Amino acid sequence: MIVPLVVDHLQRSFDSKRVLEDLCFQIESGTMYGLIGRNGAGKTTTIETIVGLARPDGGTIAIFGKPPRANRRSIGHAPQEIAVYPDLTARENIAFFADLYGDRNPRGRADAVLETIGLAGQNDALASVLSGGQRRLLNLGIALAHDPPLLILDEPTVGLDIEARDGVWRMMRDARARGTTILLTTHYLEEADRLCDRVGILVAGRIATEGTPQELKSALGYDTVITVASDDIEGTRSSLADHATTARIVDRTVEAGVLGQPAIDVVVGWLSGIRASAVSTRAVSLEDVYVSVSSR
Amino acid sequence: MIHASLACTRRLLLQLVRNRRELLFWFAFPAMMLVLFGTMYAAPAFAKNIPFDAIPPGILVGAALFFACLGGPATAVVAERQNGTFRRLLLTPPGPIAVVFGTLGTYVIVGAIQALIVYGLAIFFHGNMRFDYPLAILVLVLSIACYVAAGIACAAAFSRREGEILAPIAAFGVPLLCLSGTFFPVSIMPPFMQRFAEATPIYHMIRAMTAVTAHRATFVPIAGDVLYLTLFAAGATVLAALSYRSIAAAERV
Repeated sequence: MIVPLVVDHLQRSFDSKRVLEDLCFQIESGTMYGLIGRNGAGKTTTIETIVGLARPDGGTIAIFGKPPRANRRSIGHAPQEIAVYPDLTARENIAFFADLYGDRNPRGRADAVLETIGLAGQNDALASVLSGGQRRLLNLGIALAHDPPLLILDEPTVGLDIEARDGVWRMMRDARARGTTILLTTHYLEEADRLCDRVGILVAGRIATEGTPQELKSALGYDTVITVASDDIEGTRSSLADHATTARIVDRTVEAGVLGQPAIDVVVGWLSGIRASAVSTRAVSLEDVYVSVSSR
Repeated sequence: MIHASLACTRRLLLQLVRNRRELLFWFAFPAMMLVLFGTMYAAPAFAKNIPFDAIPPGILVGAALFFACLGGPATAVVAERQNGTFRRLLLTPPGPIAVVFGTLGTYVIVGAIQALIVYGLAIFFHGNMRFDYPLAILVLVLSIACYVAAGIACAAAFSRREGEILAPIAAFGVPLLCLSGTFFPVSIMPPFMQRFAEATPIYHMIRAMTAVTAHRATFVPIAGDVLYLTLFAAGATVLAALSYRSIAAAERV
């Protein structure tokens, strides 16, 4: 089977600043891949280079084995900035793009897409009167207009309330269930953790680490984070470092990573002997992976 | 490409219908100009020099088509860049030529309605127009093609923001209109200005349009004008396609 997306040694500079440095990753068919990284890490540049809106300085991109510009029908792209016609209705916006791809029944296709993205009641509403969240959904809907096998979404849930975000998540899960391959950039790590089959962390223009969310979390070497608040932050951190896999100061607390119940018991036992104003535990998250990788 | 061009035409027409004020201006403005100049030139001071049937071609080409078919596509392209949909269009299969032809299709319809309004009023007030319909349609379509292509080229050359495009069009366009015989016949201008006027496409549009709508001229007397306009339209279309590509290159960072 042809791999939907292969990014191979991609390089891109703006002026003298190297934004993408030997970027390599690929996405298997019917999976969702999350590209995460801090602002300015090169996520949007990566997306725009993949879809053909930016020219790479080096490296190659293959969409189902072909260069992006030779395979436009295979790509559905939802840019980070909302790009819709404000004076057209939701249906007309999607139908226009379906029409450009040669759909024989663009209005029917538009109605089906609006149903999929949860905007069925807004078919005849002008894009200009839709709420911010609805416009973002419409922005995504346009990417689905021609039912592409590869969907590329640049921070699709930024600025959405929980209800609208859940709608976008549902849409992405449904698309993947139908066999669509999805590349998603986000800086919401919970989003990547919940939705993505694989995650790549982009640091300084290259993939610093990659794997399933579970693999990435397992690779940290701890599965539980104990957060301790105390008056002597540095002393607590120093002592916890002797008992835990890792210990770091975050917002006037110490976060200690520990592996397994015996280790938790040891740390809790040690904590009972000091003056801690608050103690809490949580399971390790992708955020811990991100912090660990980006601070290397 | 035809399918994509028609899709662009339908979308632009829908947007124009939604923005009724712009459309109303494009239809009301030439009507007002026709009534204004018709009344002025009917005054004794003008009556001997400027026959009424010389007025509608200038009003149609200068007051109507110029603002709608040159200003319209220019602002449409700039608005497209502003709201981000231009970049989306770049990712779709149709090439720039399909978008240029789609825009042309839209403004052929707008220009045709303007022509019906201007000549409808001219016939109502004057009743003595003598048309050669096929040639009138040919000159109309060529004139619109020249304007649309020039408008798209202007959009690439002048601006990224909607508000900025109208100033250069007005600054260069209105003097050109005056010089080309839109408001005053070229024959009353000094000889050196007449020679300059003859080099402009608007002069040839007005001259050909006057011949085929007022004097039922055959093709021969307007052959030079038609050739000029055809060459200008072809050149401007190539320039528009290249400009569109240059906008595309600018958008592809």
